[in-house]
Amino acid sequence: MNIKLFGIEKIYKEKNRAIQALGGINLDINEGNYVTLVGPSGSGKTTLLSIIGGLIKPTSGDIYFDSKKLTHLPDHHWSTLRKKHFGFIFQKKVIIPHLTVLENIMVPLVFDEERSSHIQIKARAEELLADFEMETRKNDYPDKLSGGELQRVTIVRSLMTNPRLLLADEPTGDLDKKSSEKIINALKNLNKNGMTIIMVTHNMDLARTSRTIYSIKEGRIEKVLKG
Amino acid sequence: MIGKSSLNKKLNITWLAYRDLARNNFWFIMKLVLFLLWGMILINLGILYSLDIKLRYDILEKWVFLLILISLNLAFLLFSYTLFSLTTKKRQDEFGILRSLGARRSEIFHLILQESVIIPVIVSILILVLEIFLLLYYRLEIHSLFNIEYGFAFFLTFGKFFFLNAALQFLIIFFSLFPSALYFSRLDPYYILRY
Ligand SMILES: Nc1ncnc2c1ncn2[C@@H]1O[C@H](COP(=O)(O)OP(=O)(O)O)[C@@H](O)[C@H]1O
Ligand SMILES: [Mg+2]
Repeated sequence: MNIKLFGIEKIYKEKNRAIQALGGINLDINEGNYVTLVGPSGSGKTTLLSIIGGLIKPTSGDIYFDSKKLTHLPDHHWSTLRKKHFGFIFQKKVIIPHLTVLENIMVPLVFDEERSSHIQIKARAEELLADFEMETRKNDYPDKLSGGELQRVTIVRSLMTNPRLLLADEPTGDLDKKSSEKIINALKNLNKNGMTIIMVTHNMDLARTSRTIYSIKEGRIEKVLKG
Repeated sequence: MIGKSSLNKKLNITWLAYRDLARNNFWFIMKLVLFLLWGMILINLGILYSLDIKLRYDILEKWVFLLILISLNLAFLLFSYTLFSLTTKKRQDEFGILRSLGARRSEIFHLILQESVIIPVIVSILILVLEIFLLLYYRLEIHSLFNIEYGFAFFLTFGKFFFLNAALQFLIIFFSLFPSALYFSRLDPYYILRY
């Protein structure tokens, strides 16, 4: 999936002021690339990622996937795109508190009307959990897990549908070094197997493992640090 | 409409949410029981009170019945809303997650409606059954109160009243939950998941 962004602008309107989060972003991300966005907090990284994933609409500018213009796509088409092709890892470790780890991971495939049976979904969830060394925790509730384990669960969840594009917002956020390394390696492997990844991070170790690094400042791409 | 959502085909999110309610919300269960008890006591007291007034002053206070039904419905509204906030308000994050995983707004809307309607509807039916049993139990008192023979005419007069009330309760369920379900299903997932 090749992604092209042309002059993406985002202005948040609050009661009596407007905040310009993005001021004209042009980006070209090819299939199979592993892109990192670095920049100080408040520079618009999360906003950009959310716009690429269709979670918010840009104020102006255009988005193309595989040269198909998506800017004015109706909301339910974006939902289908997310369901079929996108995986999200959020800054906040969002997880459904009243579902067990296994149930949480099965949720993405619940929306998939035709593809798989309950048994198949469960098998895939267990396989992925094993890859992330979480299979012994599958029947636990999220409040029993550490931050690193939670983040691994959200990563596994984002991989359930086998997405072509992974959008990761500070996936190693406040994790210790060991947990971070596990996640770094996992992302590297996913990219090796052909997944396009766009990631936001403060962690330079993590950034260096990617193929391309853009630095963002005040809603603009400041420079290309690598690639 | 209810139950058609593809969301619930393979993993029943509604039931899992109820399982959580039952596990973590002792007070929720207690409210349910208290609510039913309250309804029963109100109807009992109302009937006895009217009987008393009738015997003492030889007038019939029909409004007492009306008052009972109104307070019963207020209790019901309170109950529906409590249930709604227990299942929905705390779960904004969850709806954000589902949206980010590809659920459509309409699917979230169905899910919320489905979750917040099932229990009130069950309770409403329970109340109806309870009312009919009370009617049978007090048929002698009611006969002396309203001077209606127990039989078809009896049910025509009071059964109608209670069935109308059940209909009112269904309306309450819909109008108290519909706008909120619409609101929550249209929340932008980005604002929920940002921090
Ligand atoms: N929902 C919002 N309403 C108003 N302002 C917002 C909102 N979201 C983000 N902003 C502002 O937009 C700017 C960029 O935010 P964000 O994309 O979260 O940056 P980053 O992820 O790089 O920290 C910040 O100044 C932030 O305060
Ligand atoms: Mg951010």
